[in-house]
Amino acid sequence: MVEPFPAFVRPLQVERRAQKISDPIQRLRYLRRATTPAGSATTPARSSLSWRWAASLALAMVIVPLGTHAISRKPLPRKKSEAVVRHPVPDTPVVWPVEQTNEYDLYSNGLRIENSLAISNQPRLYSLLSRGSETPGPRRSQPAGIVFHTTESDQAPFESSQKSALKRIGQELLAYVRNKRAYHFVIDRFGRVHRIVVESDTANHAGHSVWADSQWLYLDLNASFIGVAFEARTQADQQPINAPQIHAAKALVEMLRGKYNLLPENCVTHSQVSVNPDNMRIGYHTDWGTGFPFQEVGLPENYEIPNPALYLFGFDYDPAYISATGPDLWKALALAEERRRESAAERGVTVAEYRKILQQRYKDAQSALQDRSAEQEK
Amino acid sequence: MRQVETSKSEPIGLDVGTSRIVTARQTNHEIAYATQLNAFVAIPYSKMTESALQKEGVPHSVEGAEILVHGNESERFADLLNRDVRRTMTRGVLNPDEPDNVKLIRAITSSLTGTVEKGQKVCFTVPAATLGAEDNLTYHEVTLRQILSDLGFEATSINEGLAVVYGEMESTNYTGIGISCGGGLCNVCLSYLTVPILSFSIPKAGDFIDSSAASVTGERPNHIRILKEQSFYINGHFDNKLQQVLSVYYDDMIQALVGCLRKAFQGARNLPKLTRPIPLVLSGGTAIPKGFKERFETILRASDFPVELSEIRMAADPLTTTAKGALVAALSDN
Repeated sequence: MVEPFPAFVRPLQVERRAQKISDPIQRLRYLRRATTPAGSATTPARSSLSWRWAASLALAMVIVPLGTHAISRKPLPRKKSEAVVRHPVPDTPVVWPVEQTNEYDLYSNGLRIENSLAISNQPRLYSLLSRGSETPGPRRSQPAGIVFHTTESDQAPFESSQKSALKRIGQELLAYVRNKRAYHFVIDRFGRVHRIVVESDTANHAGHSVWADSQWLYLDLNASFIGVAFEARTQADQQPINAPQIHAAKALVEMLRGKYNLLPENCVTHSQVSVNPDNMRIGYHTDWGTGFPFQEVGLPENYEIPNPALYLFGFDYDPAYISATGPDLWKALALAEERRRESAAERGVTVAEYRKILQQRYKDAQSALQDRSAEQEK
Repeated sequence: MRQVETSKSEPIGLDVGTSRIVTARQTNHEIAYATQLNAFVAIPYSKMTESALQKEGVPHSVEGAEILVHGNESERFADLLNRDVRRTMTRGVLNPDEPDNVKLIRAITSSLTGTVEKGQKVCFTVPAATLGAEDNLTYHEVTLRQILSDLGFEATSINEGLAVVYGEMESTNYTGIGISCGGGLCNVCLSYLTVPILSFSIPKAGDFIDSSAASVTGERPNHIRILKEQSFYINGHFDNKLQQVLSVYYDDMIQALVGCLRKAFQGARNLPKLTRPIPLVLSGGTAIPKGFKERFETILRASDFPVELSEIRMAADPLTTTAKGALVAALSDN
């Protein structure tokens, strides 16, 4: 049950050297060799290695670029240009307006947007936060991405005998979200796209929220992201939306991405961005925590993007969030936590200490943005 | 279950638990996991049933007059037949009361690993001896090694608690206390710079809670397990009978775990001199309910635990931590 720590090992020295090895597998390999006696019967592969040899190997590993990223603790090295210039995405769809009237807009990809409920709100204007410095950058009036929602509203069975109920419930929902200025677009159960808040204005769809791309951080996405809601209710055992809704969403996403040059990785679900600053946990809202058909609407599998609220701002999550989400999102959480652990190790602090630093960074970033908006109002 | 295409020659981490078998593989820059329940249910043999199972792609094997449905599907069939699943393992090791356990573990493992390239490396988890007992774990470990060898693997083993450390404590140079609260056992390991200094297990874990709660409520243990994993939380509020009963037995288990931790660490000689506080990480399906960590922390902090801890936290993904740790060990052996 108790095994003595090998007497020949000088722990501080070993630890110091291990700390210089960024790749976790290489570090483990070094530590295992350094703490295994030469000639150990249990580790024949290592028997010819003295720990001094292993230490030299470790030093070499620090100097020589590592060929393996066995367990990715770090994002792959980014090209410098990527951090500075935002390139248009090669597959940005080309969609152009065919007809625009007070009643509807028609686009070249078949998208039709119903305008009869369109309403204004506050004009869209937000400050970008520079990733790395967390200082407010330039102001922007164009959206940076899309947040997908479900309305979680009443549902009637999607059957012809229910069409009166389906229409009535849909109309009541649209009136409600218009009154609340809750989203920019709602896709009803017949696949019709309704414009609610006009694109140039903010909508109240993602109050406390965090997202990041390779260059910018986004806090409180009401202004920076377009809110697209599906008339749907999350159900445990079936897809909450139907084929007409997916078809409409694909056309809408194509149009919006083409119009605003949106990065595909900035088209994400409410569950991925929602945070609760009161308890510093993610997932205050968990709609589309699983099952969003990214590929069917022409987007990459964005559930797999490590959650920036975790590794950039020290948010955490609880089992309720896990149970409301799915395995794809869990992988992203694990990746985010690995990044956080790696960053903590690089700074020589515990994860708990590092989380506190990140949380302070979040508060500072929020204050900086509030100061910036106060300046704007003057 | 989502299968991920990877190179078949890549090492695999394999967590062979009383409740679940989990594999971990490296895919590009992340880890892909696959899980099957380590359980089965027997149904009477008939040709019609067998062809129906084949048609539906339900994993099964025919043993005499019975068909054994195994893995995740066993739970569904147990529910349909209103009976409990049977286990290939109990208290962390092979179940001596189940003569077909080796065949079933082989079948379940094979369904997770797919085709094996001869000599492909796998690192599998094994429990530590029970605290205060001289368990003989050799048979269990050798049998698993034989199963994996028959499948074509080159197998090594890792202590389950150490796997938690390997999976979660890279930032502290694999120094800390890893605890895996599984179905049959809670496994504990203190690792110092990757060396497992102190390891033990206790037999009070998820199955203890399930069977104790089942005996009080009249529910089947498997049903209790499902309810426990889906909706139970430890918050001191007793909304219903089951919540109350589960809370009582969880508390009992946590008290026992903390008691054993204190006893083992206080009684251990030759522990290395730790220059700074170390982390403690909790993992395993039994640790998942909301409030577990908080309750554990409260009881541990109130005890006279002799090691200074920097943090007590849950593993990033408690259900896959040990498989990840085994994969990390396999990769570092590569």
